[in-house]
Amino acid sequence: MIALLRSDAHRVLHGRWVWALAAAVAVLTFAPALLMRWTNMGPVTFDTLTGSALSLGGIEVITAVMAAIVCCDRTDLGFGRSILSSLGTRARRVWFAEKCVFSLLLAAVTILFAFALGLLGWAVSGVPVLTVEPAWQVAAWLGCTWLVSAPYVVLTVLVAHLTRAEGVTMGFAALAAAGLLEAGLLVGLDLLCVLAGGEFLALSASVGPWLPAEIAAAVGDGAAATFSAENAASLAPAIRALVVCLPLAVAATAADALLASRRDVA
Amino acid sequence: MNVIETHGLTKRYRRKLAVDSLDMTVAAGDIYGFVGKNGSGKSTTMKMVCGLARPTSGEVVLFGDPENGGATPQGFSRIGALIESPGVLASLTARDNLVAKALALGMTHAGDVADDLLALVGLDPRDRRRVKAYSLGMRQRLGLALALVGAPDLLLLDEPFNGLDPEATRAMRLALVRLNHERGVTIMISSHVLDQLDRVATRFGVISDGRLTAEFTDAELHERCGSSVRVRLASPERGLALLEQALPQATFRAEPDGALVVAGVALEELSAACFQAGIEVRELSQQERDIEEYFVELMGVQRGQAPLHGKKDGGER
Repeated sequence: MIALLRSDAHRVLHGRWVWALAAAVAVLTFAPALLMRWTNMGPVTFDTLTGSALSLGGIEVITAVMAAIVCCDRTDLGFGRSILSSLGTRARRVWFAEKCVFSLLLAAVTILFAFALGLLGWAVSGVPVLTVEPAWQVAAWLGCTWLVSAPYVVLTVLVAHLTRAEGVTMGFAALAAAGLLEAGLLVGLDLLCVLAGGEFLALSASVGPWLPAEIAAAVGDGAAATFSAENAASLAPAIRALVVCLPLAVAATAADALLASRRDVA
Repeated sequence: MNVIETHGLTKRYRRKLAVDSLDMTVAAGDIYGFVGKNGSGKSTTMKMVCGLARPTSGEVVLFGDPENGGATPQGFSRIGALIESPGVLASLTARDNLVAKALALGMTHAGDVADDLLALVGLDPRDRRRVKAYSLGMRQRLGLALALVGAPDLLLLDEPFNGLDPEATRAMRLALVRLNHERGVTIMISSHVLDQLDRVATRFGVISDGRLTAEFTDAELHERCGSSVRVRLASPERGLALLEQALPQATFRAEPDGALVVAGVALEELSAACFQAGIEVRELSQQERDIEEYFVELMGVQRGQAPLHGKKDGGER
């Protein structure tokens, strides 16, 4: 596993796309910061550091797309064939599991990088923050942000290995991590509920708070919201992330290692 | 020791039977030329040998190790494969591709390994171009270098001469022979470029419709494709019976136009035998059999016909 992780780290760091993506994140962070500094937007303040406009909005999409790039056919599976032909059955399972682990580690690094840029951006913007959370709360919030990204990242890896289609994987990564697939699913379920004689939106009201996209949105509101139980589900998003996202990520990793590795590679 | 043994190896994709009860043997030190038409099952067989595809039935025994009834993890770690298109990371340099694979296999000094292999296949380790800028021939050479990471004992190469210009083909051929002679690497090559295959292979297997139709050595191939005499007789049936009696050492093959091709006998000897037996001869000529033609003939063997093996395995049909 360590050898495979080192190999993937080498591969990613020597590719151009990761630096292009890093530059894009930097631009998206600093552009609003500079805009705030140079324009007369009036006296603006942020309530909290983790709830600032320079925090990690949309990071789930970026991490899922990165996982798609890491695992897509054109970039990886052809090369993987060369490695897999020298590995035994058990080592092949490890190879598939490692893709999930590597994508999760890459997501963690990306989140930390984006947050560090966010802090710089905050300093550049000169916009004051009313309440700066304690370090432990910021760290826990970052952990929760990673946790809500994890299912999208691992499901993207699974889709890449099952479909071996770059377009499908990229589409899945973007749509799923943006919450559009879940929103569509909810609408479909609501319609079925209505057709069955139920009340419109009743189902989505009860299921919605437990969907990863809803949990991700709640975590995105900042550390205070992440650890507060004052919401529709009466349970802190951090707990819901542990209950929903962690098992989902573990199950998808297991499915990738056990199912995808059993298929013919080529 | 046999490096590869397949027993009743079969692969079915839904309705299509890609490989049908294939029994193949590749001995240590062989350069095994695997010949067959497009879609005859060459690539599928190679994928099953290196574990990239699961057999529907049958088994693969690698390096003579029947443990677990077939290919073991230890066996796979001794294989290097270049199957179908070279699986390269197009956005990286050739060196980075090799370093990535060496790291994945847990090798130390991955950079040195990459430099050595690039030099071996004739690519420049200092070339900073991304692989996407490479020609097909350069990609093929990089694919070979990737297959060689980890110093495998068995190399599986699927159409390695594809897209190579004559100079690159020659370089590839020499590299393979060098690997076989100097490092003792057993090589299995599938190729349509029969004249190249003929120059490197020491043993051949011919596959048609997923079945192995013939297996023979290089010497046997040249014996079969060596000079023969073509004779057209006024009365072919009677003439053949008399000649078989007069020339027991010769082999006879009937051509579609009614002529006989006689191998293992000189033209003068055949002429004398015809004269002595009172056979009326209408045409008599020396001919060389084309190797490509011979392979095409073997590849045309249909499902249901018995395989043709070399002398070791029972002689010509």
